[in-house]
This record gives sequence, structure tokens and C-alpha cells, in this order.
Amino acid sequence: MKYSILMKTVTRSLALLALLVLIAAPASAHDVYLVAKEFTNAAGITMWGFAEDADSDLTTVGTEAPTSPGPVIRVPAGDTILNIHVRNDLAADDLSLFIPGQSKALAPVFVADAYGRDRVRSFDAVTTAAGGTNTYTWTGVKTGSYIYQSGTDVRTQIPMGLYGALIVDSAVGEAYADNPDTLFDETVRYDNDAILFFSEADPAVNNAVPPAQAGPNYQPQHFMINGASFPDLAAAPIFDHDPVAGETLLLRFFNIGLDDAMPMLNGLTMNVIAEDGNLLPAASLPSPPGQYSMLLAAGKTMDALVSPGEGRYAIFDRSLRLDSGPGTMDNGGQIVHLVVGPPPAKAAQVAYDVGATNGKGIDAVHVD
Amino acid sequence: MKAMKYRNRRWLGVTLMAAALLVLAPVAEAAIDGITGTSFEFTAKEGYITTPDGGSIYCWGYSAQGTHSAHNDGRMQYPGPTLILNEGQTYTITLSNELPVPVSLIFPGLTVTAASGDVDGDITWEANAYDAGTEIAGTASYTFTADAPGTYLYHSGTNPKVQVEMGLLGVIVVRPATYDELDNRIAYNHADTAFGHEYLFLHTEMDPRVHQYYEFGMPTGMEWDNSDWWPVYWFFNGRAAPDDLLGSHVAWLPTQPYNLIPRAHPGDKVLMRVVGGGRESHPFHHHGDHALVIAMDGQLLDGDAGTPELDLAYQEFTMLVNPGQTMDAILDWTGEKMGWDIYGPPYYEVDQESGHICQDFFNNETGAIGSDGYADTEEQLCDPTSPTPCYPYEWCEDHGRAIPVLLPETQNLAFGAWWSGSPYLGSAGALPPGEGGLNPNSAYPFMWHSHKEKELTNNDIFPGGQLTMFFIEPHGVAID
Repeated sequence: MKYSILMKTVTRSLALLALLVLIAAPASAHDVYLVAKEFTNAAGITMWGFAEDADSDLTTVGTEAPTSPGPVIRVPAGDTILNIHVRNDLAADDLSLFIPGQSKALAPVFVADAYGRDRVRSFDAVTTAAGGTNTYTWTGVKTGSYIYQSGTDVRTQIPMGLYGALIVDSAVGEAYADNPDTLFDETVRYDNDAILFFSEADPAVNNAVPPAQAGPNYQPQHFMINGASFPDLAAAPIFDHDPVAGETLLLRFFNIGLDDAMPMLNGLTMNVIAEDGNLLPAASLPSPPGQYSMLLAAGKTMDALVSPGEGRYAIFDRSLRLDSGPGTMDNGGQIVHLVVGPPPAKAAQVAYDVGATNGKGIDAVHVD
Repeated sequence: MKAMKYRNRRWLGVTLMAAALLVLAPVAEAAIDGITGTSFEFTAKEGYITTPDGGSIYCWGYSAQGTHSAHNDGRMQYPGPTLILNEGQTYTITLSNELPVPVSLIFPGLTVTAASGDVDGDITWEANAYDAGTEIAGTASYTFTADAPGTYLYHSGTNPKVQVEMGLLGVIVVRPATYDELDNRIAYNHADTAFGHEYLFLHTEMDPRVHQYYEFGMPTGMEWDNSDWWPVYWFFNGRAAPDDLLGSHVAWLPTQPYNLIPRAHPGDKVLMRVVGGGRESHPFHHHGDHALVIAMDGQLLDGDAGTPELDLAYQEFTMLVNPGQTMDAILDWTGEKMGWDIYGPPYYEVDQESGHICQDFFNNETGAIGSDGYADTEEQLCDPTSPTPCYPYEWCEDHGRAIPVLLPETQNLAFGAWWSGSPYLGSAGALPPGEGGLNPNSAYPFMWHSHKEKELTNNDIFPGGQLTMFFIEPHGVAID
């Protein structure tokens, strides 16, 4: 047996031992409290979004401000159970919580069509409109970057904005753990991460009363990253902390739009390491080929690593959906900037606990 | 002896016909057409391109005056000049802007070490719009390093949702430091990227209404509504079919200098440099053979520099060309397992004893002694000019087999312009008057095209768009 393989076996055995100790302890659960509400976004489009419930018990109608995408949910490393508690403050539409890529026993809701055939209306049990509450539980939560979304009447509720980012890390500062069944070390560590959530809106769908379904005439005109269109300052990556040169930065791309996006990095190349929360073979290679762009298909998540030097780098959709509405002048839509500061002086170096949450189950963004 | 004469006469006729056509037609170039140098002066200009349906489309494009095309005469060109650069060297492009809007240049995948201009824009430094009153053109300058070999694109980084559509884009080819046109044709610094011929497949598309909108003066404060963007023209290297099959630099297409006529002999390695220049994805379908995709975005698909294989390279026969991405692939058509002898069975050559042979003593790739199924290379003494010719890369298992089809009588055939009159490579046959004529060497033509079939039209007129013909030429026909 080669030394490296022997060492790997030893490490694996130790890891297995550690795992057994963990299993002996009760699996810990991560609880998130969300409310769904209607709002009007900065571009005047009617949206439905999620907000973090103010009192974390869903009992009172609070003054929560919904966003679309909703709050970033980070499951702390080690937690294997995710409970999303929801209150539905929408006036008339039932909704549900659904996470493609995470397993859960589902209770689909059917409706009979005009011919008496059962048609799926909701992928899972609904949370009823006008104040209904429900809890959705995932056990055996899998590491990776995912989209949580409504699983009910998705042709309406996805264009309306009921979605957000879900991040599950394998350890603090570690996105993916090594797969013990492969020879290579696949562990993906990072110093900082950036969330880039691509979405779009067609006012003809969203501003209809009641909201329309995205049909053959669906024509999005507003293109957004993290819920805002350039040059709105809110169109920016959501970092764990302001990036500094020399860091390993994990770019987490999400596309909830109904069309493909083509993120392009001007002046940088990235190593695409995961797709739909699954590690790609290239992640374990000693010198994986880089890319300055990638296909971010509708509904997908992709993770990529970059190590940018100090500077300002544009990230934009190369299918050129750079519109903040019909005929808006100059650049708009899906363009953000990655601003990387100088490397910190040794004395000023801070140890960031990337992936921390705010104690209520929602991503905590550092302001260090 | 009689048979020999017959065969020679047949070849003589073909050769004469080929020679006649080659005199008439501009010589197709197998190398990628472009400009070299260490610094370039670009001007962004207005101009018009033409489409095969008779359309004339207002465009914005880059030009590199005086360096390139006899007929271009300082006009803009679509696409912009293809830059053929060398690994490790530093290049500067100065940009002068004669357009009514600001403009710039970005180089995805390459390292820009210095950029300057009139204004620091959203993506890069920009040149101001041309001031018609003072007659002052905006200026900008970009210095970049050709860090690594590969295929790249450049385009405007100013309001690209309009300016890429309007034509402000081009291609960069970076040659490996050890590249040599005669002795070491490699795409990357890896022996498996060796090639014989290379061709560029730049995919773009246009919605002419956008161009009319800017030609006739847009309403103040409004761009074209891109949710109503609906392209109806599709281009290879700036030309819609069948214009891409014309010669390069023809006088009547002064703003569209580049053509696309890929040609190869059986067994030749063809490097396809495939670029998505527009906003749409195009499934580029290359009939005839799979291709090995060896690079994407100018990066070799090799996860470990220490391994001899390109371990991430993969085969496909329809390459998804995504906007802004580049892909390099290598294809080597041999006719393997077609089920018939592509050079014709012995009786076709009249005299069985003097027909061509399929000599397979060596492995063509490694040079090792032993059969690999293919006729040997010319270096391994498989001589296509011998009285008893041997054609390199013939699939010996099919040697001597006739095409398993009983060809109908001539009066029952419909003819395409590329039909040589014979199903066998390098053999012409009798054709009715006025038929054939586009295939002087009796090549095997394959259509290479976008597999979004609606993209094979020019504003709803079929055939056209992203379509060209790949010619497998008989051994002995000069390609470059």
C-alpha cells in the first residue's frame, strides 16, 4: 500500500470514528422562521418574498420586510436536520417550501381538472393563505449550494419571487468535505464567499391582478442579481466580509430565472467545482482548467473558486440581459462588481468565521 | 495497361477541371485569416454588411486600417480583425472612436495590465463618443498579455447589450511559444493538440430591427427593448451562408473579409476554434465525425499537467457554443466503418491487379510495427501518388467493398451542386449538363451547421445562416 493511500485510510478510519461519536450524539436541528408577504420592489414590480420572522415563533403578524430572493439560509456545519417554519401572509395563495436537491418525504396536493384527472398543484403540503402556518423538515441535509422555493403553482410563485439561497457547509470555512470513496482529496475550503443570485421579472405576469402564470408570452424585462438591477447599489454580491486580495473566494451562483444565464468574469478566471450541490470531477484535480464564463442554466446552482488580486472586476450576464426594464439606457440588469481590497497588514489580520448565522438560523453577514 | 490509361485519363480530367475552377475561384485558405504585430490601431466605425438575401444592415465595427484587407479600404469590418498573437508577449491596442456612442474593448480570459481612456466605465475604460462639432474622436488604450495559448474573443465592454449586437466583437488566437507553422502546429502546449489544418467558427446573430433603430436615430433616452429581441440572421465569421463559402476578402463584401470553407484529407487533424460571439447558444453540429473537445475558454481540458492524457477532453458531435465562450476541438475524419471502400472497389478501378492497396504495417499514431486498422501514413511509405496507390488512413477492413447501394439511373436522380457524379472520393462521374460544379476535386462534402434548424435561414429564406460545407479532399489535393 502506498504511503499516501495508507495515510488516507488511517485518516478515514479516524474520521469514521469521529463520525460514530457524532452519530451517538443526537442529530442537531437548524430552525428557520420565515413569513411570506407581498411587496413592491424598487422597480415598482409586485413581488412575493420571504422575510425572517421577527419573533421566531410565527405567532404574531409582525412588521417584517420581505425580500426576493428571501433571506440566505445557512445550515451550521454539523446540523443534519433543517426545519423551515413558515407563516403565509399572502392574501389568497397557498404556498409550500421545496428544495430541489434535498430529500424529503413529500405530500403532493392534487386538483382535479375539467376532465377529472388529477393534476399536481403543489409538490408538498401547503401552508394556507392569510396567516396559515406549517413546518417543513429535511433530515440528512446534504452539503452544497441550493435554492429554496415555493413548490406550489410554480408557474406563478417562482416569477412572483418566492425563493432564496440555502447553503450547507461541511465545516466552518469548508464547503465540501472529502469523499472518502475517492482517491483524491476533494475538500473545498474557502476564506470568503459571495452569493450571486440571478433572477428576472416580467411585469405583465407580476403586476396582473391576480398574478398571471408564466406562459408562452412570458417576456422578462427586468434582470437582477440578488434582487436588484444595476446600477441600483443593492445589485452587489453578498459577501461574508469585504474581499481582500489573496483570499480564496467561493462564488456561489444561483439562477431561479426561466432562462439560462451566462455569468462572465472580466479579468478573472474561476474553477467551477460544483453543480447543483454536487462536486464536479475537476474539483479534485491538481490543476483544474479555469473558465471566465459558464452556463448557469435555469434552476441551477454552481460553485466556483477564484483568488482575485486587488481590483474591481465586473461580473455580468454574457447573454447580455443587461436591462432594468424595457429600453433602459446603458448598462443595467445583471451586472455587479467584485471589489477586492488590498491584502490586510499582518497585525490587522482577522480570523473570519465564514458561514456564521445570526442565531435565528439566517446567514450573518460580517461587517468587520 | 489499358486499364492504367483509363485511370490516368480519369484523373487527368478531374485535375484539369479542378485546376480550371481553382483559377476562377479565390483559393480557400486553411490557416486562420488574421493580423499579427505587437501593437494595433483600432478604429470603431459605422458601416454596412450585406446578407445573402440582398439585405444591407447598418453595423458598428472595429477596423485596423491599412493592415489587412485590400478591399476593406479603411471600413469597419464584421467581425473585427482576428488577432494572431504569441504566448507570453504583451500587446497594445489603441482605440479611436468615430461612433456616436462611447466604446471600449474587453478581453475575457486574458490579463489586461493597463487600460486608459476618456472615462472609467462600468466594465472597463472607454473612449468617448465622436464629437461631430469639434471632429474629435474619443480614444482609449489597452495593454494585455497573451498569458496562455488558446482561442479568445474581444468585444466592447460599453453597453454590450447593444454594441455586441451591432458588431463590435472579434477573435484572438494565441499561439503556443513553441508553435511553428511548418514543424510544430499545436494549439496548446501539449502534444495531443497537434493539428494539420485549423478553422475559425465564430457564431453570431442579428436582429435587423435593432440596427435600423440605431441607424435612423433612436428616440432620446431609450435603447432598443431587448425583451423584443428576435434575431433572424445567423453568421459564421461574419457571413451568413452561402456567402461564407465564397473566397475570403472578395471585393463585393468589403466589410466581411472572412470566409469559412473547412477542408481536410482523410486522417488529417482539423482544429476547430469555435467561438460564441453573440447572445444565444448555438448547437454546432459537425457532420461526418465526432470531435475531441480539448479546451474551453482558452484553457486546456487537462486537470493535471503531469498526466500524458488530456484527461478532461471529451468527444461530441454537436458542440453547444455558449455566448462569450470559446471551445477548441480536434476532428480527424477517416471514413472508418462506413461499410464501403471510399476510394472505390477494385472493379471500379477496372483492373483489380492495379487498384489501390491498403498497406497497414504500422500504427499511424505511435509508429510502432503492427496493424492499427488504418492504411499507413505517407511517412510510413503509403504513397497516394504511386502507380499502385496507397491512401493514408483508409480503413482497411472496408478495402475493396463497393458502396452497398444500387445507384438509380441518372434520369431518376436529383442533383446537388456538390455531387461529383461518383460515390467515391476523388472520382468524378458523368453528370447531366448544368449539374454539379461546386466540387472540383470530387471531395466528400459534409454540411456543418447550427442544429437549431431555424438558424439555417436568412430572414426566413432557406438555406442560409450558420451553415458551411466541410470538404474531405482526396489525397494529393493541396489544402495549404
